[in-house]
Amino acid sequence: MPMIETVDLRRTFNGRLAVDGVSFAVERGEVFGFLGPNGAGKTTTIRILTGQLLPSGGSARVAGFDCASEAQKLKPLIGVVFEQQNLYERMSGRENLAFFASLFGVPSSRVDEVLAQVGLGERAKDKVKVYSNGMKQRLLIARALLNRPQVLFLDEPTRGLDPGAARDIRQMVTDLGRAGTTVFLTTHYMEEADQLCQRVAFLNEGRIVALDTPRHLKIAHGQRQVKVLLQGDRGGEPAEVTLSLDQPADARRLSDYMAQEQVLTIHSEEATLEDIFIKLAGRGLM
Amino acid sequence: MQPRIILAIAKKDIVDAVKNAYILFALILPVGMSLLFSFMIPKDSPLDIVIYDPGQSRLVELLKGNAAWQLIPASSAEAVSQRVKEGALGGLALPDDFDAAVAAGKTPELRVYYNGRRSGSEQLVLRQAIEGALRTLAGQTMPAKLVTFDVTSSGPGVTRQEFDLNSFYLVLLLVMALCMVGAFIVPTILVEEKEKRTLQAVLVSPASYGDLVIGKALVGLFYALLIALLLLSLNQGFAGNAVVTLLAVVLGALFLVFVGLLMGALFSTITQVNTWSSIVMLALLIPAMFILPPQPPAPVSTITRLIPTSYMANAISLGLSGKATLSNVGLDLLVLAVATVLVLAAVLWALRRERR
Repeated sequence: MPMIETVDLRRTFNGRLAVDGVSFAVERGEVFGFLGPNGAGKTTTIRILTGQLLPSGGSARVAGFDCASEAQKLKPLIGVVFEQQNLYERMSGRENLAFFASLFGVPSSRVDEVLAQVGLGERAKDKVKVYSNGMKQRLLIARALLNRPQVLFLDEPTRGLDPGAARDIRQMVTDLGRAGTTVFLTTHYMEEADQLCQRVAFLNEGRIVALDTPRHLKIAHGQRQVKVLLQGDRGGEPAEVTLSLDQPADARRLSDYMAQEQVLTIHSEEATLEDIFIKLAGRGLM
Repeated sequence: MQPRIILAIAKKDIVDAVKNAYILFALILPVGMSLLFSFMIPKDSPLDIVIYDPGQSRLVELLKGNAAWQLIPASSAEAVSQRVKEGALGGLALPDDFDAAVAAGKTPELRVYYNGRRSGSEQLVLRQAIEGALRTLAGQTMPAKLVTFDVTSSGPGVTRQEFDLNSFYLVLLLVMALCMVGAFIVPTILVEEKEKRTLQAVLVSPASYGDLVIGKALVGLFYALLIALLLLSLNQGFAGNAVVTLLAVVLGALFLVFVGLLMGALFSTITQVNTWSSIVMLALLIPAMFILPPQPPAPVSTITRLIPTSYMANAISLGLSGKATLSNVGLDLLVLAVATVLVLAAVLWALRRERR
């Protein structure tokens, strides 16, 4: 049974289709990416899957429960990190987690466990308002892990973070995925999706335009060629040539260059996920 | 409904809310006003009359016959003047041959000292009493017998004689305090969660809409009853029929707390709360201003009777005066209870529509 499954999911706001016939399934333990620009419908989809919003049509199930009619049953099984940092700023990190621990009915000892897991043990007593962005994001992840969720929803978890903090968050997600937690991740950072996700779905204007592993998407939509940087004549500027992997003549030229020790660097012309998205959706991510 | 979750929400808010300076101010304000009023409005002073009577006049005996006065002897006219300055209602300085002069038809001078800071009505009563005693001393009788009727005594509420200014202000303060909790504090604690999006985080936990509403209502009720009990304690509010007073306060607090939750469900920003809370508070407070006669004009009276706080103020005033019976407060309490249930239903509807 998939941990997340939607069939022809739809949601309208004032006559506008924010989610338009979205169908996908996420297996247990999978890290699944939902990619798209702002306004594509990613957050609306998460809100439906977490029981905050009723769909206008279609169905959505998480951990076997219908998101519309059985929302109260699925809530103890999920964790959510929202796009906005929604913490109680006048309370300390520990107080924030203790409150949510009492809502989930988990023992207070779990609070210390998750604080240690995200590296906030020493700052737990500080008020959240003095936390950095990265610390707040880690606290949000800690909150989402209190109830040992079967499914973790992460809505733009690294948005607005500096590279170091973003790297820490991505490492946490990788560790969670390895530990067997099903992760549903939305982002508009393609390299993040490439690094973290086993499969990705591209969402544009409420519709899925592609769904596959990053590798398959790149192979299917990338260009089969390499760029070769060659030493310049008589110490001059290096020259760059593009060779096709499908042309035998180009293969012989590459072999000759290498035999003559003229090759400085070789790079494949693999498409990035962003290139693929632009190609399929006709627009960029920003 | 899950009691554990409801209590967790209530406990968190009770502690966290007072860290908000505006909420703390709203809680302290009614208590501060109560203390201010107690300094500005003196408690009912005894009707002390200071007398300098070197000639043992019968006039003093005639005045002693009125149980309302407390006659205090003084050693001189100057002492009388001094005691009146210090707070006594009034004083008399009689010449030592006063009775004989009155009997001889002379017009002896009777010095009356009065305290201008005391109410005019008290001074008028004193003057009338002195004049009455003088007529009796002179052997004169009233040409007619006065028979008085209070035409308002059969109507609802209390009469002016039964309800003094301090009790009126206590009712006003109680209603104001409960309105501040209901129309400002409660919507603030809900809307702040909406603005900061922490409400989303709570609603993806096992907490339901019902848990959230009851939890926030408990917070409002806690603060409302805390302030009400403080005000009643500071102002001898447990005199009269304390059970009725407290019942009216509890029902009124519940009603106003749910009004606050409805406001919190409908508004999205603190700015909206700040804009509307004073208007709502004023509308809820106005009926309490008319609990004392004279009654307002009929159209105003009709409108105020549509506002549930008029029933709350009436029940509290009857409780404080000791005049409360099931027949005269039963309707007030029933109206409050029905209004509370209706507002609660509106709150649940307003919160659920956010999910649709």
